[in-house]
Amino acid sequence: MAQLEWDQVSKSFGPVVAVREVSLIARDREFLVLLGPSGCGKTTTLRMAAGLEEPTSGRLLLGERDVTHVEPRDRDLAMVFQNYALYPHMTVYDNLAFGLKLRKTAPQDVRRAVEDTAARLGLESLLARRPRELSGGQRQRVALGRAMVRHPQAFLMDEPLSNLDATLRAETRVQLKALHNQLGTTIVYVTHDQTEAMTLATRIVVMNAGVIQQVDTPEAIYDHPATQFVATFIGTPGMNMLPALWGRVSGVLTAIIGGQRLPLPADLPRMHAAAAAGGHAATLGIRPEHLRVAAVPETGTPSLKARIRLVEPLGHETLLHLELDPDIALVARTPDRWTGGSNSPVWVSCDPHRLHVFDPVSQVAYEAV
Amino acid sequence: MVETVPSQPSPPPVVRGPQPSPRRRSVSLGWALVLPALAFLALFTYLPAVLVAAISLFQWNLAGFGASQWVGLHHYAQLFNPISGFLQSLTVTAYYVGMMVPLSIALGLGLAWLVKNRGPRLTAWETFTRSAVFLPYITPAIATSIIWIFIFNPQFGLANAVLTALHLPALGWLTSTTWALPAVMINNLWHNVGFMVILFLAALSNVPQDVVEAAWMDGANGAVTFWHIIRPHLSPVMLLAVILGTIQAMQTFGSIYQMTGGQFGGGGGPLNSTTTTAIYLYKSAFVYFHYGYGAAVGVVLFLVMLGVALAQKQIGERHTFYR
Repeated sequence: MAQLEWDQVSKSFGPVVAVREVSLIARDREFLVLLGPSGCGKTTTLRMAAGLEEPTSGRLLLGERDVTHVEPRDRDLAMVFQNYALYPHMTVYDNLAFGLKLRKTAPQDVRRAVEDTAARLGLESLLARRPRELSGGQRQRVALGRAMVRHPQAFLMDEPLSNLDATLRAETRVQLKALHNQLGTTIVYVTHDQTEAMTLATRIVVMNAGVIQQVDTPEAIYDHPATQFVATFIGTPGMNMLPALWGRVSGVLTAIIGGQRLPLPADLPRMHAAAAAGGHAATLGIRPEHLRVAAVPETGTPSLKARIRLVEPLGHETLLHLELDPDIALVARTPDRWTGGSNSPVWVSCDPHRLHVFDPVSQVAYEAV
Repeated sequence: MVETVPSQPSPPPVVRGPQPSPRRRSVSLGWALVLPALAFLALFTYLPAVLVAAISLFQWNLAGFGASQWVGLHHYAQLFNPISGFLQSLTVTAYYVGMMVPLSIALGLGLAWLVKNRGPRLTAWETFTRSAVFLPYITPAIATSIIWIFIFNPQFGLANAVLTALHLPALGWLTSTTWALPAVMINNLWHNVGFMVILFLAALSNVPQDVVEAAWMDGANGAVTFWHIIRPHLSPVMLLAVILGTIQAMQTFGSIYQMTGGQFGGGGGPLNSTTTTAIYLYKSAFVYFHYGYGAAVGVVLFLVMLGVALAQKQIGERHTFYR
């Protein structure tokens, strides 16, 4: 068990910079999830930890040890690959035993370790089979078992659930979380699926274009996104972004969105600071679930007039696609069934404390209050 | 414009007599497509093969079966008389095949490993080396062997120049009963290795990279990864290479004929040291004009090749992993 550290690590493939000066620590026993869209550099970051890619610059530390130029086989890390990468010509037993045999483990210890792991993952009856005789879920468990069996310092997992169907993915996700609690090993996990990231992670690392956007707990990432990218990437659908202008109307700080005025209460120091620092423009963010939509304006609550463009009923909730004006679209999520028709005018309001504010140029959030 | 809706269902289509089913039609199209190739094969391969088997039973006269004398299995009995030289030719062939198959596979795999894809696309150097390695294979052996005659010239050839430069004794090469066959082997290794390289390049590109990486993560070094992970993935191609390499080696004729002076009396020298069964067959039939006897050699050579290939397939498949 150990801590894994990326220290100013960059990786270029020819002219393409895949990872730019990443500094990151996966703490001991932590479930660290690297999350981002495809091509964001998360897999490359993971593969550099594994030793499968050599960093162009920077250092990698495993515990206190500098492993930047250490061969993968000498790092004592285990990896679970997206396509499982099982040895197709070996039985499940041999797949699990291969790493142990290479470490010159005594045959009886190999047998014990393999049987132990197989029992833990429910693979006992499959030990004599070849990978091609297994279902996707079984292969996935064998891949996990191959990583677990030799008790590595840390697990590296590259989208291990992405090839499973939705039901199996949800099941395996729960098993994986339980397994992490049980084993208490450091896990670095790459995914583009935010549900996996939110449910599994101790901390999430959101990456985009080779750069770390934010590292924090799932709740903090959700509640206090550091950048506009994080805000829109996390959540389904992501946060609504409304271009706004600031101004004081009769002494009250007011955001002007698509020509409509939204007066803001005085107890929002973040907003006031942003308005003071950011000049006249800002981007306001609001999560779909924090929007209230009503057919008539709520009295006493400032609201914006919008038009319903599309209604998406999902059963347990309804997504309303709205239009403030032709250029400003937003989505609201409501737990109720929407009975009003589309194309009808509605009034949208929200708790102003739920508003996020971003610098329109750097797209970085103003510090949370 | 308003279209009228037909009040009656449309009439059934007109039946034009029995139509061939789609399956039947595709089968006849298949036959039509292979027929030219089949006719060609039948005329120039299968028919001559049957004729050879028949001719081997006669003291053959070029005027035809009517002018030839039936001798039954007499030629076959002669073959196995040690004086005939046939058994010796089989020994030479076995030596030649036994050296050529493992050497060409080892060299082919080694070269394929050197020139295989490493980046996302081929570099100019990789393209050049691949072409360079494959080029000899498409040259006619009978022509390029002349180059090798010069290389192996004992007085002014390149081979001895290299040996002398390395302070090694010069060899007689094609004039030596010991070194003539190895000289032929060197020529044919150079000539044929491109084929093996192509086979193994294809096989290597089919080895899944993540499985190799999984082995590295499991603690495997280069040699262990090659032996336990890559080699099993290559095994089907390896078996193919062994069988094709064996057949190719058993059939080698042009280069031996050319290098050992075939144009001056059939080749295979000095002292029959390079007389493989293919050369023996040629000399029997077309130098000494014992057509019936030569045909018998051909039949036996065919049976030996068939037997060896089947045995290789049977034994090889036990060690082969098919995905």
